[in-house]
Amino acid sequence: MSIRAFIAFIVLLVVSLALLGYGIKLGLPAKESLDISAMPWGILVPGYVFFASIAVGASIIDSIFTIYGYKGSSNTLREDIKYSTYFSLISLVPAWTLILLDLINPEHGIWLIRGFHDVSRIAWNLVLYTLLAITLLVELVYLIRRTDIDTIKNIKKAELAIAIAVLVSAIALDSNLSQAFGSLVSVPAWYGSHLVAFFLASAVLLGAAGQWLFITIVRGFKGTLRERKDYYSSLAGKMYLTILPIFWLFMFWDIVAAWYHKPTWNYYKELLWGAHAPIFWGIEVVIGLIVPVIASIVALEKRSITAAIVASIALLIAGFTSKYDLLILGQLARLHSEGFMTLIGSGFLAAHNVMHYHPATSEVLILAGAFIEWPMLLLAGILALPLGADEKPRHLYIFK
Amino acid sequence: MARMAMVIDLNKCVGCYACTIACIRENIARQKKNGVEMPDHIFQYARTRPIDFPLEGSVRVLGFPSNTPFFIQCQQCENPPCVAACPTGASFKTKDGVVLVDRNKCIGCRACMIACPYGVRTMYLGRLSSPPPNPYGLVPRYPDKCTFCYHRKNSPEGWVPACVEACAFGARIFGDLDDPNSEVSRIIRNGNAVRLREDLGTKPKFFYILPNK
Amino acid sequence: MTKYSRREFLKLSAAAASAAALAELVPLYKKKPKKILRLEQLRKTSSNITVKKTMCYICGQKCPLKVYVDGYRIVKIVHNTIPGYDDYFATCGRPQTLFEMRFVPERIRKPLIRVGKRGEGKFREITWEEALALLVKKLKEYRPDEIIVFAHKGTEAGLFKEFMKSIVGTPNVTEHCDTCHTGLDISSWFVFGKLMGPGAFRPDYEHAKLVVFMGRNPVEGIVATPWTKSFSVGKEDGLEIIVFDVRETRLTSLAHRYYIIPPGTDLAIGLAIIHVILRDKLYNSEYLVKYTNAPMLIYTDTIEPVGLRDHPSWKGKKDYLVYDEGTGKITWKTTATEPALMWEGEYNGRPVKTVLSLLWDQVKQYTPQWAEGITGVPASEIEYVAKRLANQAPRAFIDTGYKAARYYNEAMFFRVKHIINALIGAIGAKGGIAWPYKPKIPSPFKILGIKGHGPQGEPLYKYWLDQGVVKLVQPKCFSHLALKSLLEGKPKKYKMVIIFNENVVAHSQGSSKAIEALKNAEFVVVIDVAHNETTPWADLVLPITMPFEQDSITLYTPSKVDIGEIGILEKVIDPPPGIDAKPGWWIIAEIGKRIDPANASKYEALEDPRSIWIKQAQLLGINPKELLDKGIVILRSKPIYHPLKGKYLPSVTGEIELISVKALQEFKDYIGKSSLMNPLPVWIPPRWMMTKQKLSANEFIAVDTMDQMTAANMWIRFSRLVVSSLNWRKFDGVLIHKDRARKLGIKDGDLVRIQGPGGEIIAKARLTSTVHPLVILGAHATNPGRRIKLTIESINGGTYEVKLFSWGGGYGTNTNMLASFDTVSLEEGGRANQCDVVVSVEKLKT
Repeated sequence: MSIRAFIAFIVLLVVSLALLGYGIKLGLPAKESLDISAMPWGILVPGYVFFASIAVGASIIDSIFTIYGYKGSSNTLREDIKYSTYFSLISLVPAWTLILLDLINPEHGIWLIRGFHDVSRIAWNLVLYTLLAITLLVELVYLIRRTDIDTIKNIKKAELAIAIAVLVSAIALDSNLSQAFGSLVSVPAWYGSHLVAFFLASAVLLGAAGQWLFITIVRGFKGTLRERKDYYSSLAGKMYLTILPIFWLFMFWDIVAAWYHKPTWNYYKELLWGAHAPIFWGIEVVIGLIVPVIASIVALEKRSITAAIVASIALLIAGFTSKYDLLILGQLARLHSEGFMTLIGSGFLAAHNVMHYHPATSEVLILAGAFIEWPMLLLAGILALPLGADEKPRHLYIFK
Repeated sequence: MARMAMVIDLNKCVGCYACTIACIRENIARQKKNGVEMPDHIFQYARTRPIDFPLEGSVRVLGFPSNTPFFIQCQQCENPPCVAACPTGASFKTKDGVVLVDRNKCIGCRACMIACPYGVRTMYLGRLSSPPPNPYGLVPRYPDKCTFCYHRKNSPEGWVPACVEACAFGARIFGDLDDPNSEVSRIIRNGNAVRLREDLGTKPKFFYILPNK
Repeated sequence: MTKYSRREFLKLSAAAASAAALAELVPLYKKKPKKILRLEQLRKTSSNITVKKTMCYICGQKCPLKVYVDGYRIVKIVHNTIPGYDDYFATCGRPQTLFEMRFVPERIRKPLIRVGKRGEGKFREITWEEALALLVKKLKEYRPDEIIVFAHKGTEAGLFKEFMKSIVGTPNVTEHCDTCHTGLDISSWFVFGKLMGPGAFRPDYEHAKLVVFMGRNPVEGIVATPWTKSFSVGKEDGLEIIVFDVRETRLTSLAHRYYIIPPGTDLAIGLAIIHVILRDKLYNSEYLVKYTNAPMLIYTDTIEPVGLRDHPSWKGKKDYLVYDEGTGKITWKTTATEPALMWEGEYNGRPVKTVLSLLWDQVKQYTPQWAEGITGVPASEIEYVAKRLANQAPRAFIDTGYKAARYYNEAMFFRVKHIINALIGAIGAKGGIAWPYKPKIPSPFKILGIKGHGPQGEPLYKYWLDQGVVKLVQPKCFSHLALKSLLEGKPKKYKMVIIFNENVVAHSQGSSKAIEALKNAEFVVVIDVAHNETTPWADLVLPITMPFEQDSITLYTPSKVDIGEIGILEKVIDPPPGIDAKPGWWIIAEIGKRIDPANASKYEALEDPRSIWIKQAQLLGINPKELLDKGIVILRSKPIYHPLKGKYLPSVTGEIELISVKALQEFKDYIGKSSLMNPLPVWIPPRWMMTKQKLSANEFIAVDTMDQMTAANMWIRFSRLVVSSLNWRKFDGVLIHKDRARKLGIKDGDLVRIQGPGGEIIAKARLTSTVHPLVILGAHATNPGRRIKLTIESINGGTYEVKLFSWGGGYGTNTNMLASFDTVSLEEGGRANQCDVVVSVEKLKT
């Protein structure tokens, strides 16, 4: 495994750095979007929320399993615990990459600390990210240092405490993140506390799918999947069939509530049968609901790993689309409502066609870079860290 | 303490755009010996922009209770959502009640732009080789908006924003709401002035007097 | 929290804030220390500000301004007020563009001589010495009556016209008003006995209770900012507004009621309003008796005044016979106690009736129902407007406004407006149509004692009058006839054309023929600030300064002077580097010295305008120091509120004539005809209605409008600020009703080909529901027709190119490019019908 994996890692590293580097060189937002007054936030923001949600969701699932002492059939989940913790931690990195590169003046970043603004949700995001990252890191170090294969199967009090800390920070982070949007009274499609529940449900769904996929792939490569095939396929099926209805229930009620609130309804109108409808029905509904539900049932009934993989990938694709719809289309709907287009310049908008968002080249490059950075970092962890249940720390001092 | 405010009397306003162009000159354009450097589509970056009616499909803008053209610019809210959204305190309210952007602190996250329910903040991404016409003038890649011409605050001629000064029709009135004798205070007491989207609770210090009909 | 950031903020910028006094003025921009330094320097230089008192000449109104200048920077531009009299003045947004507008790339940089073919746009830069020598040579080569001069009012054009007329001696000096307000001038001839343009009246908005706007928009046009100011003062006081227009505008949004009507049909509304006023006897009887010829008796069989005699007290005016209801006898008006307004009877065995009765006979047919059929405005609404006008009178009027060269029937329409205002007693009333006080400023030539022999030969319009082609002419404005003479070589071949600050090609209806006319001349000189549609056809092009770049040669009154304002037009700033432009008066002086060497010292004196100001001021009884200090002074405190302008009017009777006595003498043959010369008000359809019964799906009526940022054909339309303002408002193209556009497959922003009988333009379609479906409408002169590019050989070697609309734009409209040359009212001296053109529209295939 290792030579080929190492080459793969190098390739991913080079490609990722190249994409990010070129994206940065082009500048953000790229020159082709002359003005961003109408659409201040581009595709990197949903990208960032996507990865943050995965990290948060994976942390929540792990923590809940730990807190409730759920070890999986034949301790399967305990065997995977280091992988899953690492996955949660490392998924934060592309999120950071994206949000950092989305800043126009990152050189003033020190003011995030020096000028910490206590009512700003974005300011708190930084704090909560740090908190989550630290708790996850502590958890990972703790798990790696517990070298004994049998003891790892037991949950000690210290681990329980760490898991609770992770859970609390993850929930705090995600709800705060949701309110970075939800507290903006200027965007009707976002405004409100419902976004907290919406974000959490979506994060758990995405975290579950991402984490499950990662572990399945790792086990696939290691050749330890076959013996646990039944368990994994049913785990995926159960998780998805539990969380999907919750997520869609929130969606349903939000649509119903929007019916009585015209500005928000503008957003849903656009989403449900506007120009954007093919994406909503095609991706969010078909790929994000119908396909995973069927695939999950198949995975559960037939113990089919393939079906579970299909469901997971579908959920990730739909999850990203759902973030994109909420954050980009939400801004567009803001333009359509309340005559915003005139405020921002009707003639200008007509001239530059910014009523339809097209990501700039640099945005696409950076997003792609982040998407490649993610498996690259995951692979790096597998190569460098003793994440397997039976692996022991070799090199790094802190793990000894 | 002061609460600086502005009123546009739409009876007096004839829509000549003197204010918009004076604003561009004062805050945006760089005058040079042999030309003027400023963004293309310059009206987009004027800090007070005309909103022309009638709009298609009789859209009401920001709950504006009239179909008369008006001007949109920073509403200088007493409860500014842009300031609340800013993570670094770059957007802040001065003790005169003017919302400003401290560019040294701005990380460029654009949260303020999207937080503004009035859509007044712009960001120019092109290049301008010269410094802004005043210390509070437009600088590319930073959010930009009306400052009530804050650089004129200590002017010996008194604090008169460029748009107010340029209006020969007396349609723009600027003053301190905390001073009961100021003209703005008097107008607000009369109760004829309206604000945009009162329902949001942003408490703008920018008022409009609707046309007599 | 605010405290915290404030402290941090101050700490950070301590280096930048050079003084404690500047503590609040901390730069919010200091990425690099070098730039902070520059900002500090910038602030320091601001102590060298000088204040220039001048007047804005962009649209020709000359509104008083104070411009603060610091070196090459325009620091600010403010209205120059006279405390207490600000209701009579204002300045609009146009002069604010000065800081940018003066750099338009279209500016003429040096004198140019044509090197390519006419129209090819190839020129070579020459020195002023060469240019003047050539110009003088040509002036000597041609006889004065072989020269035609087109000169706009702009800057020194007034003096230039005087120079050409009295010193050079050409009788053919004209300007463009036959494409602007000649219709109004002629309507005034019919009612007041004299050709009177927009500046002759003062709509007294600020005292009015109701104004009806038809064919006039004081808010969006603003080619008369003093009136706009008065309008806004009135609006604040609750002025009621009723508007008839072909589209929704800012004015309609301010209006209490508005009606979108087919173009050129407002005459029908006007006639119906007269109908209602006469039918219901809503007129002001006392006023009509006292100040109008309403009681004048007319023979019903011959439509002639029954009796005229010299007025006993008004010199040169006529007294006339009326029926005295007090005595029951027919007697002279000056002796009658109670002249009857509506009366029919017999005199000398012939049927007679009063003018008012005759008017009633005439308008009896024009019922509101009839007008509804033409305009679509419900009859009940027309009744309402008429009654409301009468009800609010005399503080109510129909604005007789400005441009009257849009539709064929315009002069009749304006006459009807005058008649309505007279019927309700609004003319001369406070809150009605008042009379301005206009001082006469002695000409610089008079002051310097420069005299010539005067015009030599007959002006060319005399020929067309003699031919019977033209019935009435505004002797100052015959640009169309001048082009016609050039084209047809009648009455003679004209050899030289001098165009001073005019844009003959763009402003003449039937631009392609205007070009041909210029081609017929042997030598064409254009003297202007910037290149335009006309310069490619010139042989010699001379650059003059923008008005802000020179001291004017004379004192000025604002065009819409109401209370005798006199002001100076002071130089604000030098022309930009590389622009070798000269003031108009410098050119006049240099030509003068060369053609009239005997008076060279007098022409020399012309190059010191300020000494001329002082002499003019003294002659006007103004303290020159006060004038120079203030920039503007006033000679009166209010306009003239008197129906007959204080004394009596230029008409035959000295009164407001509801039916013109002179017209009854000169144009009697037209009675009963649907003609502009009919002495009686009559329905005349607009030209498009006469030529087309029904427009097909792709046919529209091409209409252009004034815009608050553009000013006719001037260079300001090239400014980036103006281009951006039009783009911002989606007025950078032509407005088309979206339902009609959809049927033609035209989407917003598409380029369309507009084909008219005289030519075509490519324009950008802007879809809207705010225009009448019949019209396709854009801002005036925002389309150059063909894309013009000039190639110029620099005097320093090398060539450069000049493109019109180089900062963008140029896809609006210019109906003159679309109309054929004969789309004018020739009987009115070739008065244009600029918006009366049927065009076809198709989407441009890309």
